[in-house]
Amino acid sequence: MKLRGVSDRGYKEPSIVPLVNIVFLLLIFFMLLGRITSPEVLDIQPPASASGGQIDTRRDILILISNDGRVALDDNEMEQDLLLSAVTQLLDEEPAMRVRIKADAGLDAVTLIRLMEHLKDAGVKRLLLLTERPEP
Amino acid sequence: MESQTYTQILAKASNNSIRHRRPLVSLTPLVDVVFILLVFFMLASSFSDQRAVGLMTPAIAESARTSKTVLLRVKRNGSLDLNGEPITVNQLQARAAQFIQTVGERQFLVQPDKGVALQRVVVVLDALYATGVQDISLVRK
Repeated sequence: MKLRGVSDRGYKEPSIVPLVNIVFLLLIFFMLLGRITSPEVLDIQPPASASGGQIDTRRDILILISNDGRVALDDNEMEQDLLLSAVTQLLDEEPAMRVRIKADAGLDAVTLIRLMEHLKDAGVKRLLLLTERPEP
Repeated sequence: MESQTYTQILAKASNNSIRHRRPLVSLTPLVDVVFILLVFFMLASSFSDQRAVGLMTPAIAESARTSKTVLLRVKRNGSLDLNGEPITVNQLQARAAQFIQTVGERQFLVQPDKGVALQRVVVVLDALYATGVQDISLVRK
């Protein structure tokens, strides 16, 4: 039985081709402009700054320090003492390695300075503080 | 049949194929995959523009502290003082430039009080870097 008005011939499904085009464009946009990063162990929102140089792709030691003072080396959260001895060891093996610190914007600056003092004792002379370019 | 011309046959054939048009390869699986890729890239990519500010570790600053260093304190309420003289962030650039020109001072020590958020310190560092100061260290009391 056929309903009146709904004939096989008259009904046309909307074409999905324009949709596919747009989805392709979005896909290319995200592929080209986004950087794939693995999620970090600590939730950190780095401070915004206008100055500071671009980060190069050199392999550095990355130290994370969160709002509540927890620290992590690369992707492993650990006690500060352990972290410092690990950094000392890494620097012994490869003295040219630089140290990057990614600290939360809301962190007490004195806590960060304390960590930097310990790092100095571990043999770090100059370090990089990661910041983010503010939204325009 | 014989009387039909070639064009007539063609027209009939194409008419036929329009009415029962079925794509050779279905588009739907392709679209599914593309959607999944899209979602993956949307979730996995980040657009933040990260930069790095170079700093000397504090203890070096401590030992190298001479009359040529300038001490900039960041107080808990957010106000600043440069060598004991209250100053705002806007004035800081001009004053820092003055220091560099007149006295030839190069090393700046930034000393935040306890409880000052890192963001506030970075704003101060920004202002100093904008003046062309290279040697900045963070110290604590």
